[in-house]
Amino acid sequence: MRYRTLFFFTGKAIKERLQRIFLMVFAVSLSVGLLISMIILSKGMRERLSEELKAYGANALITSPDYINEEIVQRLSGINAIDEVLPELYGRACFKGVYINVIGMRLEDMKRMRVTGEVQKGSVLAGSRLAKAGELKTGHEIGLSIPCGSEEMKFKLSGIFEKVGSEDNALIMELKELQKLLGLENKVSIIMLRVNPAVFELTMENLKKEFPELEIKPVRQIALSEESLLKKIEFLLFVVAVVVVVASVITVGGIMAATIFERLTDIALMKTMGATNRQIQAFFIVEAIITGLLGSLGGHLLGTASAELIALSAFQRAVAVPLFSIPLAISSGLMLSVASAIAPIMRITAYRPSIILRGEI
Amino acid sequence: MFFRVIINFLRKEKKAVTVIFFSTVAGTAVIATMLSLSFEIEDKVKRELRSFGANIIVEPEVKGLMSLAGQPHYLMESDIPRVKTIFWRHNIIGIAPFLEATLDGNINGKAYKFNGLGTWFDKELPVPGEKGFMKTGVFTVVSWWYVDGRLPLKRECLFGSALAGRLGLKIGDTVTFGKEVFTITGILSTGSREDDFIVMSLEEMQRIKGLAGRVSYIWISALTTPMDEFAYKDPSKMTPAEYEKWYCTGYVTSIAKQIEEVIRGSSARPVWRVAEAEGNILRKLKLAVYLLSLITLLASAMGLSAALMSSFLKRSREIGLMKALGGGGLKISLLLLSGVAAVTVLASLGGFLLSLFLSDIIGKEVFGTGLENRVLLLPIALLIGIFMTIAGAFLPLRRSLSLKPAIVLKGME
Amino acid sequence: MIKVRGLKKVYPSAVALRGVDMDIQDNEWLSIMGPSGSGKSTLLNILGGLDYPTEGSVSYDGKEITTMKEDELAVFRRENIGFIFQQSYLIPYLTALENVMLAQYFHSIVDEKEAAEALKRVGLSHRLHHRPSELSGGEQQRVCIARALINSPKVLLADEPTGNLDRENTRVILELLGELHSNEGFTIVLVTHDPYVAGWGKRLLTMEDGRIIKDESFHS
Repeated sequence: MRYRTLFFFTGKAIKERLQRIFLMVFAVSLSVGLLISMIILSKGMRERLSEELKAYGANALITSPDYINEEIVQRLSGINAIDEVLPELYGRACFKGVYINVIGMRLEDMKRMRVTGEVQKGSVLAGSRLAKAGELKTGHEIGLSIPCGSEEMKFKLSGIFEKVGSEDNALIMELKELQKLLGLENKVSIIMLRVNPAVFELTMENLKKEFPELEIKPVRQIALSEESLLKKIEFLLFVVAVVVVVASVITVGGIMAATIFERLTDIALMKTMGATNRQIQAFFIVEAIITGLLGSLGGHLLGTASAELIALSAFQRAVAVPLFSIPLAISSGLMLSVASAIAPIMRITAYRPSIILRGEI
Repeated sequence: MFFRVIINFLRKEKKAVTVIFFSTVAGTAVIATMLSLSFEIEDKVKRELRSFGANIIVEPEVKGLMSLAGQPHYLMESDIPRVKTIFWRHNIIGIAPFLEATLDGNINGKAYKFNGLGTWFDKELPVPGEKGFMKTGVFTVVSWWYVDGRLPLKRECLFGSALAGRLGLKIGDTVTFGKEVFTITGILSTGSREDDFIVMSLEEMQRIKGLAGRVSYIWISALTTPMDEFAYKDPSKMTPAEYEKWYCTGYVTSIAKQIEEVIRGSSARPVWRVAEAEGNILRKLKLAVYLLSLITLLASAMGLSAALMSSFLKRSREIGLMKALGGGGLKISLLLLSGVAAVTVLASLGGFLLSLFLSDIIGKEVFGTGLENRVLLLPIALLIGIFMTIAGAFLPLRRSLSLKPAIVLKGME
Repeated sequence: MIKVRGLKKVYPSAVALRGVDMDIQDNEWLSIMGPSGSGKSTLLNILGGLDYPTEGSVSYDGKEITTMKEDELAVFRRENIGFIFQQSYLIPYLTALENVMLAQYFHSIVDEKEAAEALKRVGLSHRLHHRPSELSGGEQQRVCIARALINSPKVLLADEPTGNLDRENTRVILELLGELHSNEGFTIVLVTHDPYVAGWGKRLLTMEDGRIIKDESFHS
């Protein structure tokens, strides 16, 4: 009953001062919105960025003193934390009297390379340096033999690729073809992995447990840089979020203080009626709670909208809104409005009513 | 009279002035910080992304199939300083030459054939035509080499971790090349092919291989402009004007081309994987930070306006009094606004100063160096402050001005 | 009975009370007159527990109030005292009825019927659901009286209750106060400038420069 009355009077106070309340709710919404948007972005940015970082290439390698069985590729592809599995087979073959490196790759992986020309089934690609050295052009026929002088197998050169590294001195052909050529059915030399950087360490440990017979090591060039970049971006957003939140606490606090101070005579009056400080504070706290709740709802909407807007325009994809953002919005909105209301309420209730009514404040 | 009203406002309305002051300081500080962040994010992230390694590789030009299989070709070490003479020399932030060759070594009386690699570890490269030196060496290009132990000097070398593990070698063990005894000063882990190499200084490698002044390839780390559609055009098919534009834009391809021109017998090529990923990430991250700044800017501005509005709503009684005294709307607005404007201008200055501090912290904490590009932000901060004053005051002022003075003065607004 | 002894109040800028002694009997109607700055309002505020004296004591039926803590004072006020001021301090967004109910809320629990009854007694039964801005000055002041008396206080403290009203409204308010006073038997302490208003009391204190300089009783 007492609570109902409390809410009745607070409800009245809110209804009749809609403009002010709207300002406060708006201010809380803005702050909460910014916070939520930063949180969503810093979460989502990690995912979107690690997707972009894929382009840097494999961040883990599987090697073995001997050849690796191809069935391992299938098993690796089934692991969730592994985004890409690239098996390669290395060999040497004689071309025009010179031994050159030949790399076997799956057709779908060849198609993702930077190739001038095209990738066709049954044809080969030449590295840019090899092509330059051998004056090879797309459409040429390449005859390979193992060992030199034995019967040549003919392949059509369908494109030139650029990779930078020793691969540029090599030929690339379909894995199956090279396995046949070398007599190494179902074997590969190396498997390159693209592990989700967010769970890199954990995945590496699990892989080592699951495949004890293989050598699994991180490509430090990629793995380390990725981790550091992601951490920095996340940290950047975190620091910005802190700054923004502190700034908005100041602003919301100011608005709160202004709206509370303008009700000075109301408060003095309540005191003459015999209201205790607690009773008066209860009014304002309830008001702050309602403002905070409304503000956090608005803020959550604003925050998600702006985060999605940013993600869609920058990364062309939406980011997931983490579930915990809802309780976070509510708690931060409540904390923001209650905390910024407490100081002025405490100060204002500490005044003696006689001073206020005499008009000295 | 005009100034008396302003001074009176500042003295009597301490609470309103405090609210306006602090929210303006906070608002402009955030806005200015985000602006300086968005101005510099590109440069900062560019440098960050350089930790993914060289984006240009310089190799000897190849001629004929035999050049791949037969006698190795070399570049001249003495040509390297010329990289710092090209148009985009200031964008070159890392240089590391390598000499790669096999080494016949002897450990405890057993003979082995090793892969050897010589490089600069930490080299102050004199810059032609300038007084200064440029810090170069392998660690200006790679961030992922880890040496357990210390870097080798004369008659010293590093063993790759895989190689050392296979042979059961540790720091302090020795290996003999010909008649020279080398001490292992560290174990190198790179997570890449160097793990199977013996690595030493370029000078030592050149000496024991008798290849004075020769290098096999050079890794270069350069800050580049992300590739766009124009950059992908074939330079040999460009019009002279286009070529000029391409040549003078810091694309990875044009920088590579310029490097190729100064290093004799070389072919310099972009490491596409790195260069393209970098361009994409940069573009997207930049856009994200811009948008974020924009949204923060909007939100802070609105928060600021809200704070102003709340303190203005209170003054309707004063406005009523002025109207009763026969003041015109414009005059009253000017009078009220100028007091607030005085506060906001001061507060924007404060916010600007605070933002210098904030952006410095953010820059240092996140990227290791402070953010620059500051002076431009001062007028922006001031403009924002003043704009916010007007925006924040507009609604409550209009509302107060439309009220009948009698109602307001009766105190029951 | 209210006993006031050696009451002094010093403000940073001025001395408001320089030593006031007086006794107020139950059911008395006491008027206090004096020029501005003579300390009447300060005396009234201290009597009502809205302010603390610098020195001296105030006791109600032997209970000392100057040593009470803020919250004890608040409880004391709501049990014993009703206030009326020159300005009709009403909460602008509450109706007449709700303004009265707010006082009930601080005291104990709200009772709408009782609040309506109180407004009927001050002649406002037709104005229950009007806002202060829709009421005349006299009507506003009557709402204040209803609010001050809703919790049946022992003492009504009035600081220039008719200061903003014309003669006709002043008379209406004073008649109302007189009627309630004789029906319900509370003590009235009324501060005023106006000899006409002061004349409604049974006893008149005249103050000057923080002291009582005259204490007269009338017998009608």
